[in-house]
Amino acid sequence: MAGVLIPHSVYLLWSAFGVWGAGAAGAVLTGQKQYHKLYSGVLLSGCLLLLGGLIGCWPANTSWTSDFVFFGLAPLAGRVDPLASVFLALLAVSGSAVALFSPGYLAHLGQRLHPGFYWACLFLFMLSMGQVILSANAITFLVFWEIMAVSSVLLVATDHARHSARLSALIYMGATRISTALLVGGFLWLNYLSGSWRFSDWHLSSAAALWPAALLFLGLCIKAGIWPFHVWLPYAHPEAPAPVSALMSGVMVKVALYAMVRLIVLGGSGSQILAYAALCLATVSAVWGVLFALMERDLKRLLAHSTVENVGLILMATALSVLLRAAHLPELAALSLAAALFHALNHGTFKSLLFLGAGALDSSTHTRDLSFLGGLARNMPWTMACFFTGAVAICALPPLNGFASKWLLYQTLFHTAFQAATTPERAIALGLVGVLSLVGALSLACFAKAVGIAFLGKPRSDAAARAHEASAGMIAAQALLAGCCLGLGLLVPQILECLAPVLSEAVAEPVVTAGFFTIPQLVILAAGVALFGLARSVVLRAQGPSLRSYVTWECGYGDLPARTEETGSSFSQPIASIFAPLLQYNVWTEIKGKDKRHFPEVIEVKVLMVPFLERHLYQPAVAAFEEMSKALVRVQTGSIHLYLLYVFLTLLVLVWVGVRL
Amino acid sequence: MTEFFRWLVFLMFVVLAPPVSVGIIRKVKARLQNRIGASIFQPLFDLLKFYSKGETVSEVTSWIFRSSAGINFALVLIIALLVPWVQFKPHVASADIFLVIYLFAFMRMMTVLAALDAGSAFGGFGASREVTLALLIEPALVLCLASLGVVSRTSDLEQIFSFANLALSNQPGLWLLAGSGLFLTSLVELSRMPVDDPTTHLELTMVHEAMILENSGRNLLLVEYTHALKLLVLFGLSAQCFLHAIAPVWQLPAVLISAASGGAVLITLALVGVQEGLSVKLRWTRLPEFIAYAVTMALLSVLVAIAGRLGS
Amino acid sequence: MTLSIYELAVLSASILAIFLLGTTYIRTNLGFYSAQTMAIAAATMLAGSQREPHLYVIALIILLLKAVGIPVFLIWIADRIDAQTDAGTYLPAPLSMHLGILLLGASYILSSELPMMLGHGQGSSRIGATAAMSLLFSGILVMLTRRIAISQIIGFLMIENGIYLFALTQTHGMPMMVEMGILLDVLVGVMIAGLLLFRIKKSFEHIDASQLTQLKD
Repeated sequence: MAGVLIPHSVYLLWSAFGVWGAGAAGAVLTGQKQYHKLYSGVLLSGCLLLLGGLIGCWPANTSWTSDFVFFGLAPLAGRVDPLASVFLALLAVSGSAVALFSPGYLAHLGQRLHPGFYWACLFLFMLSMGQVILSANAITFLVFWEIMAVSSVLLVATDHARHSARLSALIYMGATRISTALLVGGFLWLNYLSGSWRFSDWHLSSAAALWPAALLFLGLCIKAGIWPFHVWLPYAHPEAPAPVSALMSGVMVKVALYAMVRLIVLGGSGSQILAYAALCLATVSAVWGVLFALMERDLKRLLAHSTVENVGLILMATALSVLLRAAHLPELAALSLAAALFHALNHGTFKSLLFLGAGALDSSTHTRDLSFLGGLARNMPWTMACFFTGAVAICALPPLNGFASKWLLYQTLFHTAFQAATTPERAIALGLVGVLSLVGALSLACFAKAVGIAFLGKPRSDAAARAHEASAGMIAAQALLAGCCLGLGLLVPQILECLAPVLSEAVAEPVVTAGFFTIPQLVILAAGVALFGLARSVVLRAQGPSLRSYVTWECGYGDLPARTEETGSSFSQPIASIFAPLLQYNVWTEIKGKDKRHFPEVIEVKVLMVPFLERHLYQPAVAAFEEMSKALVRVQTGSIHLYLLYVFLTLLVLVWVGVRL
Repeated sequence: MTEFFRWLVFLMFVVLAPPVSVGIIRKVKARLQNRIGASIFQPLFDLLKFYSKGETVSEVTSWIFRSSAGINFALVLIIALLVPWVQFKPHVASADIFLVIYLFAFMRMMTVLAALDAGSAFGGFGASREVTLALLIEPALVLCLASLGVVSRTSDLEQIFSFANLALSNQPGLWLLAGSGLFLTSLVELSRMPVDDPTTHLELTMVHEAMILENSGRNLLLVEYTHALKLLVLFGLSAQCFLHAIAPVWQLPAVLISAASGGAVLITLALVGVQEGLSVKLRWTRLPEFIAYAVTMALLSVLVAIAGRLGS
Repeated sequence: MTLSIYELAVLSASILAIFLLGTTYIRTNLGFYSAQTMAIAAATMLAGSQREPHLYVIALIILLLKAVGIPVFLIWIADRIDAQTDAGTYLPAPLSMHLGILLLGASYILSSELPMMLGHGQGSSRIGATAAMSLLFSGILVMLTRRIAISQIIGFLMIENGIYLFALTQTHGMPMMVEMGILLDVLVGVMIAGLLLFRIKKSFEHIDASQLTQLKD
């Protein structure tokens, strides 16, 4: 290491990565042997070391540079500061939950999983995500970004016997290639402008830096899953095994958003065009994501679309902070950025929780389709309690953490509506308040559907009726994350104080976060619990002999089968018919029978939806690309003479260019 | 001492007024239909009757169904203590607009989940229609309150609705627009006519009654009381908006204002009764058009709130 | 924002026009049209108390003929040709109502660009210009998005209301002759249109304007 005084806590950080690297190597060596508990222990110990290092390093800025140089361009350099610590803490907590969850979950995958392959990729994934967050120069960033992309593609393809998994992995790989290409372009341009690879030397406030900033923004949008680049997300996240989905949705998209904050916001870009474009894209992502989530039958695809929505909300808050800083409203800009970072933290927590819950369901019932679930409240009570907590958190209901971050965003928009200088700005702010409440109502519908159809009512299939509770490790992982949701909700002022240094750096002014969050969540929780206790004791007491258990009211037909229950598609049908032009929604019904008007024998109902973006944007683009490729194929004639001609012409051009320059 | 007296009056009001307000609405509707109608205390007697009745619980349900009534009761009491739906409500804590909206959303989530818990087609149907209506009116509700807040530069409902707030003292147009928006939104949120018929359980009218069908005995007591208090709070809030639009009221002393606010709530309830008697329940597919009028009121109040700074 | 009664009257006319956009029942549309014309008549009377006395006469004539006479006539026509509602609008009614609100906001912004012919002392004409332009836009929206011929007539009448309001608020009041002439034109136009509707319905069995596209080569 270069001779810089490194505090001991940083050694703890490095040891975490070292442990993970050793785990990866070990996994490659052990191959087919199922040492899940061992590797989970390695993952967990790495996470604990990481947490220890972060607590030790807090809140100072520490950086280091190693002697190892990548490709002769830039050394492996890193830096730990409050912003990086927050995201690394998220990584550590999610990693611990995944470590607790994995042994029980992977046991059910059985022979479809190659343990060495899986664990090696997982360790590399965790390591690379951590190093991307810590990286201090562009080359380190790119190297670990690529390792992160490749390892996550391989993890998506874990169950590669399934065609859908292979297809999703390919689509995801295409998206990461384009994203990396744009990032490389942006980095090269910025290196040309500033002459160095280090992030701290890049200042994006000049007009010349607008285009590279736009390139970086586009590349990171693709990776974060912003509309219209989000199409890979609903393919990739559901196909991966549940722990991996939790890490991808919970942490990886946050890494992309972290990079956006680090490079563009803290890099000083005050470009209004970029910020307004980001605001538009973010708003559309929020509405689009939750609308499509509501229409999904597959539980994990529903959660993936909901990730698109929340990423849109985080980007909205980030773009708002840039715009507010440019409008000379630094306190509101700080509030907005606090909302963005806090929501990133919260979403990481509750989305991982929800994905782990979906994984527990999958391992128990072997299906993710909502039409075959239901009635799991008796058999899987702990999973249901944790999933319910995650749903309450994601719907932004008090007193959990989702409400706090959404409240901060609402307050930013509300205060902008009377503090902004021009009428259009105020109109946009108040309009966004309306859009935000629409998104909130849609997500309430979506997660009421997810919890209600998946867990409540009567079981819709034999698999659901025979389901058993998840293993202790899986429940512990979910309980850990649920506890974090509650903790984050009750400790909001403390967390905002942790974010204060980042906010001060972003708005170039000292920021006091004491007055930001004024809702007493703990008091509300206590009052609610007290009143609930009052209700139960005073009113609902003495039920004993006069409480009778009977079937659900069935209009006198006798016990109705589970087919008469509400299904996921029928739950979302009224909303779908309102948004029918956007979703291209149609319900096709066919009634069969000899006298089908009076005595129908078979009724078939199909819900048809055409994915708008894929049909109208991506498929034509891919088709055009194929046409272009076919046209270029004609250049490849196979004739040696023509190839020699090409070489000669290229030589002429290069000589001419070399002489001119 | 006056504070203790104020609390006593308010708590008695909170306990007794909700069933009586439902009774008032039914009495006005009955009078319009040329019937004598039941006494205005009949819903209170019904609640006492539910207390002594036995309860039937479906064996399909889980802890969500059994606790949702209690959770909703707790939430609506918190809301009633925070929101200034009458002027003599004592100050408890700051009632942020978005906190109140999301407390209502929590209530809706528990009701919907309890409806889905029983695994019946009624509950599912009602639940899906409830979330659709919530989707349409939530922006209207938020924008009505937010436009009032923008003009008074605070998001605390108590400060917005207080008669000491001078920023809103000469804005009859804004109060009327926001008040009518709130009134129409409350009709939808509380499943009154013309959105849903609160007196039947038929397929035509399946939103609210269908969701609470499985409750009986003391559970039903809590559910009915919760709904009545929610009705009182929401219509009380629109009544306050209409009261604020009347200019002379701002000059009255505090005691008279409190009495006037109670009177305004009474008049609004009577208005709801008249509306119940005169209107027809709309078909489900025509509801978005009706709700569009609530959204229009909200958007108009937004326009006034934004343009207000520029003066005329 | 404090508004005088005059400004409230003209704004309520434009708000009633926006409400008209949100419903497709012909009777309700005509009711809203009648209400907005009464608001305009009230505004004319208030303007008459401030400026020219002949505006009182105009207000009375507007009230009787345009606010009462024309709607009654059109309801009679609608009953005869059995047109209750305008199904199949090109834009769903709620959306066109929200669009009308956006256009109200736009006309507020546009009205600041107009030269103010009447100073503040004679009643600020900025609100008047806003209301007038918004009425104009609402009328155009009705004509663009509705299908059956009666809706086209209602849209035309709203546009005429808007133009009249614009003249009222931006000038000292048009001369009596001009007002009478315009009023006569409108009345006769509506009567001829109504009677023609009758004939169209008898000949084509429908009054759907989107199917009457034979006027081309």
